[in-house]
Amino acid sequence: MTPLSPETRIAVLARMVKAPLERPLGRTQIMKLFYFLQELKGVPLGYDFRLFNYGPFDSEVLGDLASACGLAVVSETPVFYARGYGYAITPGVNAEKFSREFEENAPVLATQVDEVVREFGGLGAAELELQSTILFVDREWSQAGVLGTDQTLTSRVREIKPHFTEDTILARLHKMKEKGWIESVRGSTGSSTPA
Amino acid sequence: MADLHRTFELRCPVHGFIPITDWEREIINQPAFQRLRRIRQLAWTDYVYPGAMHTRFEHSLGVMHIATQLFDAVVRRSAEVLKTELNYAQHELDRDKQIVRLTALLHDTGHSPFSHAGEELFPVDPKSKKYYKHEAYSASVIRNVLRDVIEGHKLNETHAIKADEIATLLEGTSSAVGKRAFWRQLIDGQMDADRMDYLLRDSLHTGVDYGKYDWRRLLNTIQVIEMPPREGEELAREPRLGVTEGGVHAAEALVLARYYMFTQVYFHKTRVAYDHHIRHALKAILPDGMFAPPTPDRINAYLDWDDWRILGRLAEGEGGEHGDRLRQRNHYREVYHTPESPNEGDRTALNLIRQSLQDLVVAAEPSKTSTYKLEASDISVVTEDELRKVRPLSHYSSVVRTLNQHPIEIVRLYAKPEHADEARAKVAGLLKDPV
Repeated sequence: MTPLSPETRIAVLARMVKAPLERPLGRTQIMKLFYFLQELKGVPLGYDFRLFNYGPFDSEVLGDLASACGLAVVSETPVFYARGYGYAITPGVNAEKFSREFEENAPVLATQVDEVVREFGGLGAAELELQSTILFVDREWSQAGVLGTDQTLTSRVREIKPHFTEDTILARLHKMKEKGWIESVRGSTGSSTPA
Repeated sequence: MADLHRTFELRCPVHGFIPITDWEREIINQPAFQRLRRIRQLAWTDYVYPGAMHTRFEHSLGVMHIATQLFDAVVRRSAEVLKTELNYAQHELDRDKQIVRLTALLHDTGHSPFSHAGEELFPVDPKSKKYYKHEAYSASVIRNVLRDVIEGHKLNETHAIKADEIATLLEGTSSAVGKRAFWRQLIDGQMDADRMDYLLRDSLHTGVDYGKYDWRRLLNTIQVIEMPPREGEELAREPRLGVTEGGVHAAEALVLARYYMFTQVYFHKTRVAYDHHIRHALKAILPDGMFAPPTPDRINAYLDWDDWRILGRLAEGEGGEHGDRLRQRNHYREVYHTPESPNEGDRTALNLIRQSLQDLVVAAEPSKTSTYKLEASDISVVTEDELRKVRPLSHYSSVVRTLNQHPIEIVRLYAKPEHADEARAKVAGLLKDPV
């Protein structure tokens, strides 16, 4: 499948930041929204996500974000808190135009973007890091033909993200399974089935 | 009996002497690594900068050297954090240092002939449905070609390092688990050893000074930065690499070096034209117009291709029209380029020019999709007072801030040499009346 053009990805970004959310999106959230859009909705964004500090990451997403800033589709402002920092990504003066044209030209894709933003846009960076990492491991296993169990997948995620407790990971995995997002683990617990 | 613990030294034009162990020497001696002597770092760039004849071989040694220096600097400056936050014991650090060294050494073993120019001819991975990247080839070389020499050497008896550990650290897959994933930042990150070496090395060999920056000052200020939780979140974010305030200008110079090298060397108009010709000549020469996949059964077939083999085929007259252009130094000519950071009006002008020139334009090369593209940079900086506040480099540097806000997205349009004047005249006519 041909990947979407950089221009369309910028339009997707316009659609994301235009969504009515309580708090502006940050870089981590944008990164994960794109990841979920590619993996859960099968949208061929053309990103190649690798596992990094805060879960799946592709610097191309930041490249698109910078392009969108340059085109005044989004505006990125550093936000400083007690000892750290983040970014607030808000609509730029051209966001409305890009979002509207996107909806007219690609209504199905626009709906998919809306669904992903509705599902994940209100979540904090830590929660997104956890869910995207679970999905990343799941997709790796699925591609490799590995069938796991709740326990083996939880253990792998815990190895990668030791600051999350096993209970937290397991609870999130169950939730994601209920939604039908997990491919490599079947049933509730069960024993490991070799590939 | 040979002394296994003997250290060897290789002379490097950038770093002086690079020490290697007997184990590393044996890896370097393998044909899969020696092949890098026959892959030029910057492809056909010597047609613009005649000195640019260096290869991936010397770069790979340089990356290993810088990665080691960075690793040691981080351990020296952040020993406490590594022990408390990442639970590192000394023997684990020693082992991971060796894994980082080997990952850095082998990170480019999967490069195609003429480096990045051939990457568009990688096939699609049937599992992920995405095009393979050169890292997938390097990982395959490590697993399928170099496994024995990596795992079987006497010096590996203490660490028992597996080829898979090196490959997964390079790939960024979930198997590179836990604390070792932290070191991926030295392999692929804002201040990674690859970038730090190629800027210095390419600058030296091309004869330009744009890629130089104070890398020793970076070594002197790099450290692990603990990212505190943001408001409303319970969890602290994972530690990352950054610099102290004293390193702000060295970090700024690194960002600027990338900018200058990109605009002056990597995306030079003639260089870009030659990359276009190599890509198409390769397509004409390779079986089915593409490289073999990095699967265990095909990786050796892939490794058979290097610059020498392609040059031989070109010398025999292969490569089609683009082979002819390479042989005759008759490259496409740039007839128009956008500003470095085009605004909406510039993009409209570009579209009008393309429509007007129609078939006169034989290639359009956007920097955004170039392998050498310049991404936004933001290195974390920590204050040196008790508060230890973490701020992005762009907070301190208005130059970096501006560069991030105005990404480099040049588009170059090319015509055949015989049509270049006609195309340029049309462009000049169009630009006379502002769009």
